Amino acid sequence: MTADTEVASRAAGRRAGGRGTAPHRPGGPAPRARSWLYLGPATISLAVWVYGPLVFTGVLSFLHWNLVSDHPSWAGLGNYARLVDQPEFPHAAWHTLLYAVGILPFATVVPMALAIMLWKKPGAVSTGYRALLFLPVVLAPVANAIAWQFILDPLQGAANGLLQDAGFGPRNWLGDPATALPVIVLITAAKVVGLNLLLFGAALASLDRRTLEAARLEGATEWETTRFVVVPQLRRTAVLLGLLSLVVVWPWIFTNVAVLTQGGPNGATDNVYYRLYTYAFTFFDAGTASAAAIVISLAFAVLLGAYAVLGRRRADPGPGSGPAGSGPGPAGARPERGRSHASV
Amino acid sequence: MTDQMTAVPTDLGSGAGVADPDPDADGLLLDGVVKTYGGARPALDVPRLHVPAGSFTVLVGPSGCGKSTALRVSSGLETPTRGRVLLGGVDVTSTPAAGRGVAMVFQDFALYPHMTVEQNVGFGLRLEARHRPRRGLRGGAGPLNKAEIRRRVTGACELLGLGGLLERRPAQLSGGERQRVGLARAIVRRPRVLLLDEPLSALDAQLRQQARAELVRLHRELGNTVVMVTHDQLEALAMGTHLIVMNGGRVAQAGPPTDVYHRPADPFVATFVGSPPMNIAPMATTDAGRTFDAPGRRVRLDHPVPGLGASGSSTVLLGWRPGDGVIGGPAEADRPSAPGLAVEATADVVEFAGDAVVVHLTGDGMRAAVTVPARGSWPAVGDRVTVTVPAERLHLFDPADGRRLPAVGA
Repeated sequence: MTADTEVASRAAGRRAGGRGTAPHRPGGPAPRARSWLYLGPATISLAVWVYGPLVFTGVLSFLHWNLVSDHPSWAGLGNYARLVDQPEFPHAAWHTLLYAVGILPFATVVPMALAIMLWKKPGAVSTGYRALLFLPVVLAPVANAIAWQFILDPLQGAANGLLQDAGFGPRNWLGDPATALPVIVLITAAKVVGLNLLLFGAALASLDRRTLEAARLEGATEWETTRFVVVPQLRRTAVLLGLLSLVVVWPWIFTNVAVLTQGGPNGATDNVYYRLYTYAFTFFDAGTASAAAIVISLAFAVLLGAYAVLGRRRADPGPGSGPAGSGPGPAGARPERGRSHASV
Repeated sequence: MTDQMTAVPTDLGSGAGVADPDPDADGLLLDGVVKTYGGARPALDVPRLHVPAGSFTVLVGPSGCGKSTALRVSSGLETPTRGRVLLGGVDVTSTPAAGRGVAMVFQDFALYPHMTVEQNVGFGLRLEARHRPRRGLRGGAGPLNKAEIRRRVTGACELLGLGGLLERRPAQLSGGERQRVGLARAIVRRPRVLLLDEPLSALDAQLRQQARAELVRLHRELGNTVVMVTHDQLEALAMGTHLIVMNGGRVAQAGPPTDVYHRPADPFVATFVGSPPMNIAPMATTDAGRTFDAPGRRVRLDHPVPGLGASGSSTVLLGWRPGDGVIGGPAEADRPSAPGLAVEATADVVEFAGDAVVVHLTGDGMRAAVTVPARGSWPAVGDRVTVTVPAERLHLFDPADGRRLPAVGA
């Protein structure tokens, strides 16, 4: 930190001195220094809580360390090699992908459909439903998971009780490798749906309802209005929410896995986050855990980078651009046009 | 393309019911329509609101007067609480919006933001093709296939000067271009009635002038019935062939713009239509309607106002248009002159408006405005002036119910 401040003030001094014309208010620090004073708190906290740990993790990933020893030893790429060599991490990565694929509809299609339905019938009932659907988001994660543990208990659980009344045999939902991951996905989905429902609602609120009336006057049925007028206007929101959900959903999944299955049975509900936690706090292998963390960060960096590039290419050119069709303008707009032609 | 547009399709109405023999019912008719939105007072309550076929009818009134409700009931976006909607003599009250053969341009155009101009204009036709893949177009111009849709979209866009903008999105268009896309989208389906909901209010002042003329020209070229809603009475006077002035959910007066302007039915219409508004003030008669007096003002008539004694009233609301007043010197007040009104007042505010000058007068407990041509001379602020208005230009209203009293001069 002292180094930071030193560098900052030296840089400030150099620039101010170099120009020689910087206005200097008497009795106060030089403008350059003052701007660093304003930026200071945020910069320091970012350095301490984000970039510092990131660098620290990066360094750790090249070391053997058990979290307590005073003498970590150099591992080189050994930790990364271990992630690839041992079956656990690739297995966890594969299951992470399954989680992502399983969650995605609950982040996009399901809340979008619910939001549109609620939006079409505004009123007290609609508001009540929205509140009910949002409720899982604010429930304490661990308490919520424990409640599900009671519900899904193979012997005394309410879930099996109800199913038996309906004539289906009891199942060990969390103990069966075939059902454990889907059950975790569904439990987590309740939160994702509730949150994204709210966000789709916000996107719908900014949609011009007159476009719906225009479509009605042109003979569109209710379904056609939804399909060709409402949904296309939510496309960007859906892409963004899908991506964001895949970034923020892991703490929720982690809690449910940690409370309900601990990654089991037989690794069925394992994922890279739970694996990382196990490396670090079950095996006290900080090096491998750090390597896993770096790999996960890089994977997300690639994902977000791809979104940024795609998003930029899709963005419409400004009103000042030349007539579309002659310039390189709306490259992303073309296929969309083809789609709606084909569909209507 | 233009000649095709003028061919107004009629098969839609003929199949749907029995034609009304009443020739007046041609065009659009709201028959005893009441629309209530839960409030105590209905938003719209019209025993008869008639839009003549082929006319450019303007519904005009202050906000909340029911003009937009009338338009929405006509379009089918709203169903009336009571009454019937007739199109070409056919009851379409329960016909869904899309089946009425009407199209609408919304106030802010309501373009589909995710579609290009071409897709916006062609959306209705694509839907129609989707719903009735084997049937021909309305008007029987061959099957509605991709080529035909494209031909008609291109035609409508070219008619409105959108030829080079087909691939643009609404966000890439100027306000005027958006308005024309809204129009193209409305006329491409060849509606019998084109409904315009304040189509010029989203444009800036200069563009509005130009768009006004374009709309009138478009109506002439297409020849179909146009109903436009506006709160701008100047726009209404300038554009309409038929004017319907509305107030408080009711029709205050309907007729050609010149009629409405020259023979307003009540003080509301008199003051709403015209700029500056008509000067109206109560005056009392002393000799059964031959002369009227008020401080600083005197009216002398050749014949007493008929019907004035019958209503048992000795006062009238006297109105005159600012443009009908003639400014003279202070001496003229005493000089006996032709029948009419003489007002003595002081010039309070003088507004130069290019071709004309508006002089605001204050007198004994009254205010009035008079317009004089800017080519002549006009009084300075503080001058005492006498304004005379010939008898045949005076408007008299019954103060009790606002009814127009028979013409003064005739």
